[in-house]
Amino acid sequence: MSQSPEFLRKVMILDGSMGAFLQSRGLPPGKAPDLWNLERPDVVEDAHGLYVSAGANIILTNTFGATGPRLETGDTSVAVADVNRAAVQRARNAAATATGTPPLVAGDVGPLGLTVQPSGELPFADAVRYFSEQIRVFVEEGVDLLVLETFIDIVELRAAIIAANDCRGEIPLVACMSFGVDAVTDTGVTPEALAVVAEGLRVDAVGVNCSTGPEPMLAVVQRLCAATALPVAVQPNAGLPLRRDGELVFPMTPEEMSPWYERFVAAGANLVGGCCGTTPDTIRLAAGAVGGRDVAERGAGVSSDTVRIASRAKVASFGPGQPFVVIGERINPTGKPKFAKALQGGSMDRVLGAARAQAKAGATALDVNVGVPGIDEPAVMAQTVAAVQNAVDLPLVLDSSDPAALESGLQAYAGRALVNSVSLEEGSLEQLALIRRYGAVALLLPTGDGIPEDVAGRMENLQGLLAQAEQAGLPRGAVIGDTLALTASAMQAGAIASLGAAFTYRCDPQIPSLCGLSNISFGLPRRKLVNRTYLAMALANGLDGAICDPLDTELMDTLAAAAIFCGRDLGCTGFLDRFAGAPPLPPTKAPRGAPRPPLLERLAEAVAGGDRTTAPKLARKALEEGHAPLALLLETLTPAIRLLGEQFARRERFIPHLVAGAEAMQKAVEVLQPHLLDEGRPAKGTVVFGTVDGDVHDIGKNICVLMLRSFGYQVVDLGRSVKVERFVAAAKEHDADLVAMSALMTTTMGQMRVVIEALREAGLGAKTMVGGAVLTAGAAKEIGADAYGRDAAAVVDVADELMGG
Amino acid sequence: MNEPTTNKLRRMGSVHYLEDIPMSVRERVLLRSLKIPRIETIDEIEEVVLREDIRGAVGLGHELAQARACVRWINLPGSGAPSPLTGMLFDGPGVQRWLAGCTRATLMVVTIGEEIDETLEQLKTAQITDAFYLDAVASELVEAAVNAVDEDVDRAIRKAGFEPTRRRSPGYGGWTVGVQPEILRFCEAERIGVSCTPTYLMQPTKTVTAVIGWRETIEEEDPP
Repeated sequence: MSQSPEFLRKVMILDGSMGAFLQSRGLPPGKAPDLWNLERPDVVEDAHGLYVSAGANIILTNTFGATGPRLETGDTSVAVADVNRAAVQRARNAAATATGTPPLVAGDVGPLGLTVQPSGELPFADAVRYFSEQIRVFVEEGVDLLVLETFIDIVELRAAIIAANDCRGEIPLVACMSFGVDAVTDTGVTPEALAVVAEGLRVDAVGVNCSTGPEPMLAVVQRLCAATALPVAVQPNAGLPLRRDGELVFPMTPEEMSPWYERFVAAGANLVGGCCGTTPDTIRLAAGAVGGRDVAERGAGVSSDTVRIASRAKVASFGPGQPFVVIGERINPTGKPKFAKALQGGSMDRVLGAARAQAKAGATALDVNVGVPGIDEPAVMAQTVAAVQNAVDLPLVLDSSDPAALESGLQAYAGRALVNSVSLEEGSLEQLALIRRYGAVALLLPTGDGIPEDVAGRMENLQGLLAQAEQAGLPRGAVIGDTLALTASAMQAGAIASLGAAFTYRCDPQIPSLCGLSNISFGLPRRKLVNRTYLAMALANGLDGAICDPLDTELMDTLAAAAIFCGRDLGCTGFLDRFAGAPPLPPTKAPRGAPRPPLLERLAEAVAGGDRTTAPKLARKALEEGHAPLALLLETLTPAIRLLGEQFARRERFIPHLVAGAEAMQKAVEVLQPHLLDEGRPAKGTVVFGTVDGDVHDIGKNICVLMLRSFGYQVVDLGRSVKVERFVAAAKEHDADLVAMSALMTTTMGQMRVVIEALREAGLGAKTMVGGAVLTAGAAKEIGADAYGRDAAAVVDVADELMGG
Repeated sequence: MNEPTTNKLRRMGSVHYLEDIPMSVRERVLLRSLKIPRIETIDEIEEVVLREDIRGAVGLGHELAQARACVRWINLPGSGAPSPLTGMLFDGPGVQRWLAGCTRATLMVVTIGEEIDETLEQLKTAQITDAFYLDAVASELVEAAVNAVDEDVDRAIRKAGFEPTRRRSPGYGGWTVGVQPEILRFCEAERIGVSCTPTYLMQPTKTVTAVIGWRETIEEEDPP
């Protein structure tokens, strides 16, 4: 990190609390301590001097709150530059008093006290500007390093780092956050996410300060040391503050703090100091215990050929031996008019639905594409990123060809994003510079003047892109190669070559690879089969991730199985997690007859799964293949709906499943109907069904009709607001076994009694069944009905019972 | 919580009109109304087709629903102030009990419009499952709209120095649905396109009428 080798090799001692010392010397409560750099320079220098005497190797300027917004709220007209310039001078003067090697002076930067968009109101660019105003003074004054500390929001920390990167040159940068006892910050940032974001933004050391006191911080230090090879800093409070005699006090003594420094250093930390409640004595004991010590050996850490992205909570790693990265493709309006319309109307409903569904289905990251013609893509990208990262905790892939949309998404993103994608075309260098500025990862798409069909063509373009990335200052750890999965039906050689590309990228230039999967199967039948087969083969060739549909459960199952054989699931733990304890697959075969061919199985599955689009298509196909329509009805459709009914009875499926299944069956039966007429179709009985006079609600009635028909009844549907005379006439005409009535209102319910009495007066033997929102079993009995149909699921059972079936 | 809608009030005579009332579907409530137990969110539905269909119905419901309301406060008979009521509107022991101690009441009519009905009409024969889902979503949306209006009304009543009673609707607790035409007339509900049939079915169907009483707690001020 630093030009000073000691930063890497030796344990360095940072100073301790400044604010408490100044208060002990008369700083009034509520007054900004930073102002004393100008007003009471002697006191500030005294404080620094005490830490220098105590053995601190690095002292932090008294500038934690010396940014524009904080100084403004302090009701002062003092210029930010003056306060910070004076602060550096105070520290320098104190450093000069050291008897041995003078300590380094670090420009100290704290949060702005405002919340940055998208969580708050402060625009990201304004946050960068505020930080920049302070940090530029430090750079002009020649500080030895910069320390960002006590941040809880990763977006604000990113703004501060970007401001520092814009001007710091070779000055080392340390970025610290405050973690709670559960090892996440108040905004949900984990140590691992901090490590990945900090690495992406080329920070020189990461760390934890303030927070909870030393004990819970040890776990954060351990996790940081495991997550990054960067030096790790730790500056604990002297315990959690307590209120004693009306004042806040920090309970731990320097002696109680001292052993923890040993533990921090043993865990791998090499920048140790103190925060609130610590004193020069704390630092003296820490320096005596661990100062100048060699840095402890750390574990293997993260492999250098692994590229990582992160949300504020989770990390996705691309590289050999890492779990395969599934990037959900469904937040994308292409070919989805409703999705596009929702985005145009500013609705996030569909976006969030897709985000949550993919997260639940096992996606590792989510692709976010909001490219709709005529839309304000930068604004919608920022809105979408904000909404998605609040809804799910997965890392995001920002998918746009609009640089302004990318920048606005990158500003809003609370993590390290992957940018999809950069190809060899005009503007690619600027795009790579943007990715570097925001610490993101670039997906390099090896297309140039044309689309290369062979691996050599891809490699030529990829080398060009890598050269541009190097020119833009983007290291190898920030690029991933797209293998360019071309459409097999149109460019078969190109599709095959994409398999080889994954292997080649890994060998040289040794970068991870991923592909957009869906292209591969365009124009082919059984696309999902093609997709999952390709993906299994690509895994074997070293592919590290894919943009695909995690809701395709067979694809996800295949990935889980393939990972076992590609070194991505050691001990088969991922596979076991996915399948251990899973219930056996439900039987899809009809309970009688010989084993059926796959087409009929799929037809039965479509009915049982409520797939109203697929079921009629498969029924038509089955007819074309020569299956007898009556056999299809009796041996495929009927067992499927019965199976669904049985699952409903066991409470494994519910009314929506039944309704959707019945409609899927109905649509399949409609295909068979013209052919069934020739063969004759047995019915369990005839039902005359209607909504009573005065009642126009008939959705419930229509569902009941559907259910009865699906379960073998002939139903004469009289519609809604049916007069008494029509019920009687229809029952007579069709020799009805059952007359069923529905009513939603108490005002129309009385009509049911009228119909029942009229049927009796007409001497008809039809049974009667009533139902609807206002009916109860008691009310049904009271009006003289033979039975009460509680809901759509009950009507079939009730009808069967009345028919004696 | 819904955003306050008071700032969207448009005064028209003594009736307040509200538009663009915020609505959001409570997924748990929707799932229960669809008779799906145990789970809390749509995303927890395991079957892809079902999950996407219900999610789609929520999106469609939001697209089609346009929540409007009309709200009017009235002096209750016997309060000493002039009242337009004949005494029939709040007949019945249940109603009298809810409004005991109230000198005023606010009547409201809230609808999410006719587009939902038109779409349900189209769907209910050929796509009954989609109609089933959309119907449930629409019921939940109108409930959300009523809740939002209720919050505004409660706030206004409290601002005037009264304590609001719980909201009650005709058809519940012994309050006859026969009062629907009178409520619609008082609230001039035809201006938001609401009417009812001779059997008191609301048109559009996803419409709710309700009353909230003003119970005296502290010194009375002018009503809002």
